[in-house]
Amino acid sequence: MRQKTLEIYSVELGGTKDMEKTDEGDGKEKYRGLKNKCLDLKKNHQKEEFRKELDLDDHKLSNRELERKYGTDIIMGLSSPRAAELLARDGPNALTPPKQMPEIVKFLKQMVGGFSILLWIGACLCYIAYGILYSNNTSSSLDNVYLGSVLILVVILTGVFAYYQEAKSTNIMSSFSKMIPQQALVIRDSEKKVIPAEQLVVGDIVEVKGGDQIPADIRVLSSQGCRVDNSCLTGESEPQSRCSEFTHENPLETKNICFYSTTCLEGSASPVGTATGMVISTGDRTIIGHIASLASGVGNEKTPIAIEIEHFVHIVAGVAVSIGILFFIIAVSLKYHVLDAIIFLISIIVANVPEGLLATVTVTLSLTAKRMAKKNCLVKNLEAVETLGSTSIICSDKTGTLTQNRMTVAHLWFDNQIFVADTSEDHSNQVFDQSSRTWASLSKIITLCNRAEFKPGQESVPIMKKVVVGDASETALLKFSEVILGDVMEIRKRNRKVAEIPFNSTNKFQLSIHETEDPNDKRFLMVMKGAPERILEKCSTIMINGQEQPLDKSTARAFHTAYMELGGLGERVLGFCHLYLPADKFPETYSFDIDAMNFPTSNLCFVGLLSMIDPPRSTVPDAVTKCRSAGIKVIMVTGDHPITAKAIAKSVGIISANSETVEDIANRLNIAMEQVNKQDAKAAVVTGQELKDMSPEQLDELLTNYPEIVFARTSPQQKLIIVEGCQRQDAVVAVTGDGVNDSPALKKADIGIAMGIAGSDAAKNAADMVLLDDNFASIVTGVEEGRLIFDNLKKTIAYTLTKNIAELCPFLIYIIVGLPLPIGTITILFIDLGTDIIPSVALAYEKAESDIMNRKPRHKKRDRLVNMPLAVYSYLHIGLMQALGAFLVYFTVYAQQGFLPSSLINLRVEWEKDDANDLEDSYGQEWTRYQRKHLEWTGYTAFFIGILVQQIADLIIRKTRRNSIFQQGLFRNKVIWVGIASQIIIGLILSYGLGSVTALSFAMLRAQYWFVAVPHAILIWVYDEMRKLFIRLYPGSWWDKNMYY
Amino acid sequence: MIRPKTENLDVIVNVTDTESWDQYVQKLNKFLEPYNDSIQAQKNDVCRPGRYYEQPDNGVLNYPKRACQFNRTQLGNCSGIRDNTHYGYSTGQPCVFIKMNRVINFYAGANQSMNVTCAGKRDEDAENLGNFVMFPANGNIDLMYFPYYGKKFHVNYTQPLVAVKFLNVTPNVEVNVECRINAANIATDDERDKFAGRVAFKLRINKT
Repeated sequence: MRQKTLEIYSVELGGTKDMEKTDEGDGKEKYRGLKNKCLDLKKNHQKEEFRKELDLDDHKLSNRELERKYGTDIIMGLSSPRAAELLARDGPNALTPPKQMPEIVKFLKQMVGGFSILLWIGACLCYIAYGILYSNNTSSSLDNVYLGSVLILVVILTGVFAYYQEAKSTNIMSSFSKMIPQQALVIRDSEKKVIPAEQLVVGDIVEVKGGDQIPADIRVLSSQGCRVDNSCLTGESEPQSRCSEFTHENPLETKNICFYSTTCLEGSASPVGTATGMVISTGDRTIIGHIASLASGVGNEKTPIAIEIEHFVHIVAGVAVSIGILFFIIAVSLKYHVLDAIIFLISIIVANVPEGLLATVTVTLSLTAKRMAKKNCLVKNLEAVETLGSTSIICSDKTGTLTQNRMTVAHLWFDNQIFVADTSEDHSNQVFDQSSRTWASLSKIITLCNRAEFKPGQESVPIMKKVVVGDASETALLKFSEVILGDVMEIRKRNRKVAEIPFNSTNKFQLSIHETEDPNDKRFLMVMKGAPERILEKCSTIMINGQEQPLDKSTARAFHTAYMELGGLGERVLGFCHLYLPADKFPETYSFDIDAMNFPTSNLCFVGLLSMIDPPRSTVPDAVTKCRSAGIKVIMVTGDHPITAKAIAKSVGIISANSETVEDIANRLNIAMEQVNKQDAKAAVVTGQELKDMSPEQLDELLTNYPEIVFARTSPQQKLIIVEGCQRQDAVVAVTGDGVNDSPALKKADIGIAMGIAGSDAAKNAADMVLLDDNFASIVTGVEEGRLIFDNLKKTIAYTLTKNIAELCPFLIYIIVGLPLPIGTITILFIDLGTDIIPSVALAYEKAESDIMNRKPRHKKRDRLVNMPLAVYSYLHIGLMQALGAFLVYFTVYAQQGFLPSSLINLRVEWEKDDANDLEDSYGQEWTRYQRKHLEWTGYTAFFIGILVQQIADLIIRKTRRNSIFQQGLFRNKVIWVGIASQIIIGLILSYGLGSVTALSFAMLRAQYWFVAVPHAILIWVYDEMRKLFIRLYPGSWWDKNMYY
Repeated sequence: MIRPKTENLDVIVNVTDTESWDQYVQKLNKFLEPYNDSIQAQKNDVCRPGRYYEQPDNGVLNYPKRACQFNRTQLGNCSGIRDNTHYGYSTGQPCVFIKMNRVINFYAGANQSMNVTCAGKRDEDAENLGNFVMFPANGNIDLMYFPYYGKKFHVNYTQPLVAVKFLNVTPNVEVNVECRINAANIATDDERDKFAGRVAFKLRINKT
């Protein structure tokens, strides 16, 4: 452990001690929670296995003991029969995919979800009613059967539709989970064989080389320069070396264990790093397997929009059932036949339930999902579309999301000056002074003392995008020099390398000796880089403005100041020095022996410092600002060191320029931290170690008191704790992450956002959304879309609810006043599922009324999708107006045919008598039953057209909630007009094409009846414009509070 | 439609049970009252038979219209005047009155004469139905009663009737009778409207 950071050339100042201290205890602590959680989750026999696994002591055992424990032979490997036996016992070496709900269950859930259950009941009642009628009189009318069948059809159709939509969006994701089958090189029966990694069993001896993914949890038996990237497990991108020595008590920290699904790095060293190891656990029993099961154990919270829709369904279903039952009782007490009362009940329910709405919502969400996919947010779970919009806290991972995930040269120090290098994505704009001769020397060292190379065949690729063989720092230096100096490989060719000592952890430096490119200069140039303090030790002079000067105390102090400053920025600092070897002592033919070190390595000339960081993406600061103005708190949660984390947080604006942490204030005022008034500090940097000691209450306090928080060196379990803490504040939490270690938090979050490029499959599986470009800025566009869809869903719901009153009133009036039925149940279904569908989807295309990114995120408990003003305004204002308008058309049709409104009152019983075939109307004409029925259908059609015409007005007024339609632009949303056209066309087809189909109860309607409701439609528009006008004129007034939905 | 108006269009007569048909008789008396010759003579015109009695507004909107006389006596043995048999109900030879639904501005006959015919619905019904006589003769309906102008302007309009007197219905059997109007403008074969241009009813004479 003490060696842990040795292979890092330099260490962050101040961070060093702190970090090592942290790691001592932290190693165990980090995963303790994880262990407990696993144990809690799994019961029965699996529990035993987990315990055994986590009490892993294989790293402490000698090779001999291991052989005995796993019944294998390090040289010969397992025998094939034994391997087969173990495979049969343990199962394949693969993670069990998260349990999928069987398709049929998903389908059935769609069939009974939402309003479906009400409609099923309605359909059953219909059949029962028919059954009773039929048993009394075999020639009874088939109306109830039609209705029942139509209701069942509706439920099935909407169910199938919702199922299809969901399946479609899930399919997008399945492409992710397909992994390329992995191969493993294994020794079995004393032979090396390549087998699919799935067939590995415990005790197998495997060989891994650079570039491979580790095929299982492996105890390293021997290794050569093997380094692994554990970032998918721990989030740290620092490569870690692996050898056969037992270095740490904790199996997760020791160097002789490699973990499943981490990668063995392709080093720049000429013999690629290789390792041989014994498989000690496979599949779900690996550490990754544990984390994956931890993720699947975290309950999937209901999305905010699902809660909203449920809330809405409850309201509507409640209204429907209570009105239904109320009128059932009224009907019975008015001495209606019980059977009739049941039919009324069904009709009232059907009228009240917006059958098409849930399908509309699904379509709307999937439209937005498509739009977001175009902007690189791939949505896995449709409802997540809106969740992003209501997000109030984003817990963002640092590496890869906020940063570019590649080391880049950020600062240089030479000639006693710090220069800033361009860290933007393309490095195009290097502005520091390159005229100094010191820079010439420094750039030569950077170029020559570097083993990284571009992979061949990338001539046309921009420099920053070229693939490099080499580690992160060398890559950064290579690209940096390529951008500034041009063809690095050519320069290296001109300065032929004659000897080289690669970096190793004991030396902490790297050196190489070159011939110079000047043919007259026969001296050799020795270049060296490494940890700054180690480099400085070796130097006696320093180059200032191209002149070598003795290294005195003041320059040494200047060096330290610069080193501290750069280290304080969280950057990784490297020192560079060189020495021209005198030609007399080292003639051209001199043979350098790197083992004997037959050349000087002291009294060198110090040239400069160079610091690197994984720089923030250039779009991130802007995106963070946007989040801020949108009222979203951005919290950084990273496994990285606090200093680096803080530096990045500052540079992207997560900690804003003028806010300070308690430590900052203490440093500035030069007082102890306890004396600082905590109210003054706006920002906080909290390490995993500190977090561990906090009670939930303290965490809550932390989260509420500081607007700017950075969590550093956190474990997966702690990420989960942070997310839960945020959720306790009633916040809707978005979590971004890429590693396997993030997956529990991704799952726990209200919306988990995985990185599409860097993200592991586990993370993508746990997430609700995938950022295809790994860019934090894409989240902001997602938030915008999410907010817009919430607003537009309100409009859609308001639009849809309005006509429910117009559909319901006919039944109430029919029961109480006894008019001939104004509209049939099936006709209602044609509105709900026919004419109204496309218009309500069209509202999803409406543009935002104002800058939605300048307001606070909605409060998930207060800002409801369907609130009181919305219901009241839709039901009682516009809804009633619409009902009146539709009744107007109805009465007009009846009056023109001979029945004046007054004659209709209490006509119901006579009207519906089958043997009354000479019912007299207001003009003395007599009507047969069939003629009356036909008139009734004409009435249905008229009422239907009345609603339709007014729904056009309703659609137009719903385009905005506050602005005037003319501010919004009547024609900007073309889809609205498609919707209106669809309404009219469907209306025409129904009233003129289907008039002859008895079951549908439509009749031909004279053209003039289409226009009866037009004045009402205009009235609705004017009324709503007035409403909006007063809202705009008197913000905050009674009117605003009660009329703005 | 038929008169007397009954539940489910069943005319059931128990000859010996006065109460069973008395309500029919009361209803018919009331129904036929406006047709009394005296009332007709007092209120309505004597029109020329065989042609429509058209009364154009002649520029005066909704000018009141006159109606043509349909005298009760035209119903002959079914008129119920000086009738001890109570429209035949007491003797098992009941009269049933057929009337057309009033429809404003409807020219039913297209200038041709119209008449009502009745028959048993099926063969056995025809057998059981026996003989019947119609008043006016042949079940004729004259064109002069058309067109109808609506009760507001055609105040004393009395629609034409056809009375059918069933003479020897097989007793104690339910007989399905269907009467239809033969007129150029009236379809009697509408599948959906069973009462378009026709009326079907059940007749049952119970004798002990």
